[in-house]
Amino acid sequence: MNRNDTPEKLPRESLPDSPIAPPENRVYWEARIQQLMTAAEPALARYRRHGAEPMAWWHALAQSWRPAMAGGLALAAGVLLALVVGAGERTAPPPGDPALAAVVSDGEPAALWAAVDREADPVLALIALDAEPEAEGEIR
Amino acid sequence: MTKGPADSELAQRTQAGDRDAFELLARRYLRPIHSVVASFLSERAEIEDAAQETFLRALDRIQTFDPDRPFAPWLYQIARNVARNRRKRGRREEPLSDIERSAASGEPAPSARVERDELRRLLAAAIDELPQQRRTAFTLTDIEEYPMTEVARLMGLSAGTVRSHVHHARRALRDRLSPLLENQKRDDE
Repeated sequence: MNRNDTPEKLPRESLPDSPIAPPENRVYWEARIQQLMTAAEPALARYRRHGAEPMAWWHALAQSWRPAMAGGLALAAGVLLALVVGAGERTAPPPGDPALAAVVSDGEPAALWAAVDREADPVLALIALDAEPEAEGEIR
Repeated sequence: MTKGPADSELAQRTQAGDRDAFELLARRYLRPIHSVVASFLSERAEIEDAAQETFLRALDRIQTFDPDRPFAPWLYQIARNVARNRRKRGRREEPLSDIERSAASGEPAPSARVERDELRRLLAAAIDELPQQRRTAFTLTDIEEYPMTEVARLMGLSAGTVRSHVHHARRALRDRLSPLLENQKRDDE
């Protein structure tokens, strides 16, 4: 048999007897219900006198901690989101910002100079870039 | 499924002291709760006491019951605590019999024929040693023969989880007592 298959039921005659009375034994169950109701009467009478008892503070707290925690977490998530979005908005450069223009230029030399409001000949701009000290060590 | 007023409605009416509502809950759940505590305890009188104690405790705490949540698992938890406490108080260690020792080791039984009563006693002891949720799920489905969906509703578990508990319980019992079960099968044939 595969280990994942559900094993067959054990033979009923090997299993212990059900400790409860058979379902058709109505007299037994009726007696049990009546016995229980007699024992329950004082508590029920108390509830009838006082109505539904007000909930104790500790129980109200115990019942409300889940929604309270969920609310707190939702609030914290909202604040975090607002901070992230706000921070993004604050750091976004205005249109025409040199840094943004440099990004938009995509490394094209003339456009890089244009980003700082300098007109440049495309060839001269390329030479100027190649002359940058950082580029000296590169293999050509 | 249960007919008549919903459990939550009956529980709310019980909170206001409605006797009929509590009686309906008792009629609906006394037998299943009886079976739950029977998965912890073995003496019939103690099972009856524990089932009654469960309902009286539930009645004492009914004001703390939240009608937005399912009633059956709430009652089941109370039954479990009541039965577990009684079991702790009454538990005693029984030495392994020769037959049980041979079954555990897989060796042939000392006598060729193992009495059916002995097998039942050993099986009862093995069931008793299953982890609690597994034992309760197994007892309710395989001994009391409740439908798995009903057991799941009572225990507050998914049907798949109950099926898994029963699967592992059957496997554990078969693994543990397979020599004796084989002997009995041969005797029956």
